Amino acid sequence: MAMPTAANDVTAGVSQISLGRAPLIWHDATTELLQATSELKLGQLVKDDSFSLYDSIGALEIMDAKMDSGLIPPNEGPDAFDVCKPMLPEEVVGLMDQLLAAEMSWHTATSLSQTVFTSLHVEHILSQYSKNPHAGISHITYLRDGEAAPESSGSPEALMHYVFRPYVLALIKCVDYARERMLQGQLYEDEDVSTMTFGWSPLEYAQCEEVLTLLDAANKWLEEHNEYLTDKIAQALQSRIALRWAFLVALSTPSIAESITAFQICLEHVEDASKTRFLAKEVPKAFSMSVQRTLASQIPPRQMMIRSVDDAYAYLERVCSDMRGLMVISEYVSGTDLFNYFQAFAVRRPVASGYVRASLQVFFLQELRVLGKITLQQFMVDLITEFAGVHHHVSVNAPEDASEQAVRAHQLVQDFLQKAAIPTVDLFRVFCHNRARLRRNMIKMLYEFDALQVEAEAIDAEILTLLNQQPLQTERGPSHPYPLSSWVYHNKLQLMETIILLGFELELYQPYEWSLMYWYLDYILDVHRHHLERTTVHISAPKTAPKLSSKKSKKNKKPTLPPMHPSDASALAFVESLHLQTVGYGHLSRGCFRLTAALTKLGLISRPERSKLAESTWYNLRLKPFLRIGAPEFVPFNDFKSVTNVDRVDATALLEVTQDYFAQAKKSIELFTKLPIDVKRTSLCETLHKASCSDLLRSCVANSVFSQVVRKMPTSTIAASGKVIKAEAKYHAWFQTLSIGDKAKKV
Amino acid sequence: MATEEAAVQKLQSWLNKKTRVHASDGRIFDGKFVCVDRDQNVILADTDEYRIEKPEEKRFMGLVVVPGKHITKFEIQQLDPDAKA
Repeated sequence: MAMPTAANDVTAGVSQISLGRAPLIWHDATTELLQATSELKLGQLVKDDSFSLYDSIGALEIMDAKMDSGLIPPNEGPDAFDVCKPMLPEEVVGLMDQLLAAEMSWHTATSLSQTVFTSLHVEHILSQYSKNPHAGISHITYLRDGEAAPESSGSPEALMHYVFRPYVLALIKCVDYARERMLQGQLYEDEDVSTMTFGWSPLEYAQCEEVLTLLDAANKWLEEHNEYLTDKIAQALQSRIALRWAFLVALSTPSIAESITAFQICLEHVEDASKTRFLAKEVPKAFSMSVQRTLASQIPPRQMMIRSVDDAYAYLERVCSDMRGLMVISEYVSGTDLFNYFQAFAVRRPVASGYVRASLQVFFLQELRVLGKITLQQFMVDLITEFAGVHHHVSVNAPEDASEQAVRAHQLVQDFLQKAAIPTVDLFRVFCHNRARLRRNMIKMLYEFDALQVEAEAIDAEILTLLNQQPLQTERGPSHPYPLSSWVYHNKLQLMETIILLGFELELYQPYEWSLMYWYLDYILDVHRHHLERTTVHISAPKTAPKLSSKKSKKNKKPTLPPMHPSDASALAFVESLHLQTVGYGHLSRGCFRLTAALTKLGLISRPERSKLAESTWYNLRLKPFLRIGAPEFVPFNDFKSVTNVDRVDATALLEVTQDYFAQAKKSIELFTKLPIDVKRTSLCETLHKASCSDLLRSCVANSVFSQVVRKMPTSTIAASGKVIKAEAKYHAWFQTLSIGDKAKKV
Repeated sequence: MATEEAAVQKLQSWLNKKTRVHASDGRIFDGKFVCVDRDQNVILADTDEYRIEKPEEKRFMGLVVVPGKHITKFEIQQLDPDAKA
């Protein structure tokens, strides 16, 4: 604080607390300000040390129309839209549709200030409610001051009061419940959802039952007063009221089963309502940006962004059917089935609405139990067993053998489950994010799983000593199963593969980087394939010593092996299916690598000459997420260069080999697709899974055809054409279809 | 030089005080005074805005720059020097 001057002796150094006792006045310092600032030099600022110019970037400039929402013309004066004025029945239908359009636009993560809150009818209600949210809603109406509620007869005033008002109240309540669910999930503001309410309360304390009762009464009114309305209009209004009723029940009820039924009812009414769209008369003046001048907002004014009503109905339909689709997970089949569901859910196009994704996250983990019923520890034990087979110490139950070693081993396993809980939950929830965030978050999770693997290995090693487990004799020497770290490693490798493939989907890689990424993908897939083979060897190994047959006859001296435990059998089948899939992807990657290498040789793909980065630098930059990972070992640039050197191979030979790989990939993927659902563990997502596999096959075939085409093109034509390679996610987003196109014209 | 120092000191003594700025279109901005320059461009933090004819309808705007040319009145909240102790 500055030294006290003559004028401010009284206030300088006095604490805020004591100020509260003395009377405060506003001292007009306008001339003092003018005089004092005139002494400053140009560019000189007087400011607190803690305030930097960087902080001022977000400041709103007053009187600048682009920044100052207070300059927006208010809804006042002779041209003002009067929300209390009763409307024609067709206008009420139109307005209900427009409000729905605003609501659905909000669901696409567009701010309330640009959508629902721009409705003057909504503003009328919320500006009153927000002043005293606990006073209820019964006094908030479209009646003018002093006006009494109209009689329940057929009249425009009654239509407004008994039908339109409940609709608006219910719509705002729907926004309230949807927003609550969005906040419970772990999604990104402005990207997936928009939860800001700018100081207004969306009827938070209003009772849902009260609003539902109003809607019921509205429905009755419409049935009783069709002397005022034509049958068609009455029907149109009734279907909209019924739709709103069902949607509100679906969003507000805590029971998942009840909400799914309500979404089904909502879908039926969406159909009815869409059929009566032609009766709607829109009221564009009922929506205005003027609301933004009254909202508490630290951002500049923004345009209204409301989609068309037809889009809105289609969107609502998708939300309802997506929510019904989530019901499939409520029957717990297995941890891996659930995981495959999440993967398939993330891949679906169009991407599910933020509300649906938040709901999936919330249904997945309810009060620290998976699907509200299975403990996290049991869930993880299931996941590990489904992959690595049965290991008696990997269990939540205390060991039957009460020896010190068994108890200690059990404790170590519980410690591991504790540490792995959050990474495991994240592994599922991350699939509800948008694709760009998915990749970023997977990179973060990769490091978590890497650290977890180290801990898991230590625990596995300690346990096998404690339990005096004998190694399995394999061709490569003695080997232990290491179930915990083996499962962690498998997930880690899957993360690495997905990170690379998402890069293709998000178009992060330049054409000259494709061959590198396909090669590295092949490297990871190869490591994964060996890991899966190792796992199958351990699952199929006999767990107990073979029993000698009881008949001591000389003929029957061969020991009989005990039958495989059913969990081991299904784990084995599952891991073998993964193996087949990995082999298929591996062939696909190899084909794509050789294809892009050949295209580089032919000059169709080239690094830009202006690039100042050394090749090794961009290699390390591009593979940065994998640099610090312990296993699999990072392939240094020089090793990569020497292994992938195709200088002595000609393009034609490369392209021939490419086709072989694509053919093999096709076979493996086809075989994999045909495996039984319970083996692949796709019982919750088989349709999507099949569709994804067939997309992959189409892409494979398309690229195979392309490589043939290139092979047959004379080299002279290629070099002279000035053409470039284009990649398109025509069939599958991860293995994109390549084609020859013209260079993009420089603007 | 001395007048410049005194001017800077006066302005600094107002920093972080509750301030009321009247704008040329009739709006009023109540905020914490954090920065000023030669052209009387004033930056206020945690600002509330309202129209003089409707003082109860205030809204929160946060960090705000009021250009000097639009300032009609600049007030600082102080203890009443005439009040009895």
